[in-house]
Amino acid sequence: MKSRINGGFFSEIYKNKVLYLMFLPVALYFIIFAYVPMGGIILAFKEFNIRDGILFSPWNGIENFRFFFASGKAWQVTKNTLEYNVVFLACYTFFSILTAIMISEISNKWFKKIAQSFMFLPYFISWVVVAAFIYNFFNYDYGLVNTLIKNVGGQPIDIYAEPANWVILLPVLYVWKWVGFGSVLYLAAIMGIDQECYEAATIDGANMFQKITKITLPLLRPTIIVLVLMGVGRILRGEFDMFYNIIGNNGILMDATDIIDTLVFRSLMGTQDFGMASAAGFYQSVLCFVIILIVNGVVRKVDNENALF
Amino acid sequence: MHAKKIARSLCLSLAIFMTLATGLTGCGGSKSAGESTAAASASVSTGTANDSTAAGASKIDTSNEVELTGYLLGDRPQGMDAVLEKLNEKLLKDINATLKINYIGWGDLQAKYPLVLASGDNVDWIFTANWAYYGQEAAKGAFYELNDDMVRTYMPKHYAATDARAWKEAYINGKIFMVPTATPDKKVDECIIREDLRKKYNVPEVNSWKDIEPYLEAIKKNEPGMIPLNIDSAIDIGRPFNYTLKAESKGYTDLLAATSGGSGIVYDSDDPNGTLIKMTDPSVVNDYKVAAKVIKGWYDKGYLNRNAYSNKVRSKDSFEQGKSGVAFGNTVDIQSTLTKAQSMGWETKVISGLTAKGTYPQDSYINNGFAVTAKSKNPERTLMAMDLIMEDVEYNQIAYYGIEGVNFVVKDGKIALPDGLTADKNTYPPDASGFWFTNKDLLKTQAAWSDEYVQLREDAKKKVAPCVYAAFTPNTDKVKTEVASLNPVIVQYFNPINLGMVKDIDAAFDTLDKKLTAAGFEKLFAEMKTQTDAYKTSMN
Repeated sequence: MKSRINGGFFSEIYKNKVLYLMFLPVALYFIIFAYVPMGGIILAFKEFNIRDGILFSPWNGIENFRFFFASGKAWQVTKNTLEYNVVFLACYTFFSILTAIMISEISNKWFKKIAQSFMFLPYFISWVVVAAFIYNFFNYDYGLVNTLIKNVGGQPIDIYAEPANWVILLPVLYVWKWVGFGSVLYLAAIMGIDQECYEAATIDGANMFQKITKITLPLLRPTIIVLVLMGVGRILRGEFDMFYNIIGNNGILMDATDIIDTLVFRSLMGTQDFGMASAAGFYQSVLCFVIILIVNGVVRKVDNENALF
Repeated sequence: MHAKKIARSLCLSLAIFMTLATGLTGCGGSKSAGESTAAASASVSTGTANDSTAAGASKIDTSNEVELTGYLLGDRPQGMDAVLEKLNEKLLKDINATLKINYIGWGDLQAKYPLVLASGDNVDWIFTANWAYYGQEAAKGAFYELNDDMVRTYMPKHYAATDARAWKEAYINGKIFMVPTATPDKKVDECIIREDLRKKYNVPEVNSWKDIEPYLEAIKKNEPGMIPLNIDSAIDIGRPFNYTLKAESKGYTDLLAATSGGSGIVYDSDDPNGTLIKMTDPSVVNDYKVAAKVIKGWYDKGYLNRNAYSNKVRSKDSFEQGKSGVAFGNTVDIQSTLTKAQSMGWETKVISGLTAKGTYPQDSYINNGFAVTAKSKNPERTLMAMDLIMEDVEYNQIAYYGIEGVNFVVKDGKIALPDGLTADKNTYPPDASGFWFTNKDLLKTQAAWSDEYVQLREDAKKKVAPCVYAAFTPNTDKVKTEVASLNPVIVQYFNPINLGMVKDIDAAFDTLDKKLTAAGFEKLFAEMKTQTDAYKTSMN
């Protein structure tokens, strides 16, 4: 009995050895960078000191979690993080698909390449640089926009003092930065669609719009679901670089723009406590895990074939 | 179906991951166990070595050659390699050791400093100070515990040169983890204004910060390309408020400013008893409100840049480019700005940021220093090497000014640049290497210092006054949660006040008061009261 199971497992590996070999680098990557560090979760429950190391530092129960909830901001930042990420994910998915379809319909090869490159460019620009752009565009005293407004005799605007601006501006920036990357993913999926479907539709007299809604979108559905589910997996991880560089420590905007990651950063940059930082990370991970289980469960109910697990 | 098969093989690979992962973490666990026992036995053996060496310094064994790795803060000067080569040549001859030096850049400091220590691989010593995580890291056990005997044995010169108070200041829970400098800087907050512009626009003379408003007004009115106070988000951000607060009332200082950024617990730096007060207490809040009103007025009138939160350019730098009317700095670091201004043909005037009594808190000894790391394999040799660098005239000069003939020459007993070399081309500029803890009394003065600047340094020495908590390092173990919650409160509810951004000052202070209380102010206050009382007793 036992030998049969072993035989089954090893013969499976032997049978698909090339596939498994190709899979090996990915497996190693995840083992080293995702599974091994997971052991560090215990830090969240420890009073860490360097001499005893991670394993032998004394336990301190849930003490490390207290700072996060004691500040009274836990709910607010969790809410902000969730809201921003839902908006980000929705906008990102929508515009990525839209762009991918438009690019796939462009027949001029030269224009297609240029358009794609330009959209991809922001992906390579770090948020530090973006923050500098924004500052030079919008700052009150000598920003580009305000100089223009002043020249035509208007009243200068101070976007850094008005939270409402950022609720719009941040998603716009997010989409601007990521849409090039996202559209490539969807474009790859569109390219994988069997061209015969389109040819058949053309013969049946379908127009471009009908082809998109009746062929492209339905066939993109599995890709969309997988990518959205993966996005949901990160839904409580704020886009820290973006918020930190663009908003920084601006107290006036904070109620509207503070996310879990920025609050934790501000709280702990002075004390440098690894245990408390792990606790915050652990809180995010657990919530992400629960959310992805729920969303995946919903997908499984609605469309069993395309659920992640 | 196909998808099913993929799913199954995914499950399988997941199972493989899990098994491997547990296996690997198991290995990791046993490894760190081995490490910690090794560390324990190492500390035991150094303990015995210590006893025997205490008997006679002549027994120090330097027969095996060692390499000592250290970390300094800032940017690595271009000429560092050549300077190190020179230092190592001498060190090898004197104590059979060589130095290797890495740098932690200012931008990475918060993230990298604790990481370097936590990984602990191959680090023998690191720059530390009360503003550079000394208290926090010592509490975490990152540093090697020193004692009087060790210092006397391995650092005889430094021991002789250092005031006994310095070692008292370095105490954390009754133990010493750092070697403080023998010569703390005598510096005060300074700012520079454009004297030529002041005269041009007939503004009355500015003799102290309190007289500055007409000057700001004149700049705003007449110099469209200039912002009177163009401050940045990291360093200058609280300065206009603090200058005003101190000049108008007392030298209020946040007790945890160096530890976490802020806590709302303040004391007057001129008060010899160091009474702790809540920032929003009725007895002091009016002083704060007076300053807040002044700043708000400046903000509304456009004397202060509106988006300081997002500005990354220091006022010192925009001043040099003619874009700021005031440059903020301190006695030591404004020298370069003064030189620049002189080369532009601008007349300048320096105004100090002092309390109403005309004082500035004296820097503590632990404002600069180094610590041996807990995992260092050669703590003794590290101390010996640092003794030479800090207190031996030749070593000190190399570490601070570089190589004679290449980076500097001695002219009339002063340090000057070699012919044909300009300050901005010097690959090893003075003070830039990060060896700030060396004995500065041994250094020759620089020829580039103007008479006015030398005078300014002399004046600063007269203005500094002892401050009761200059070296107080809080132990945050019992109040970690409160410390972590209070800093965000200061950032969110106090900083907008001190930038003049709030609409209603009274309401803003009420909110601040409520938020401080909600974040556990009372608990932290009680703990800090106990700790400062104990500290005051120990220092007397």
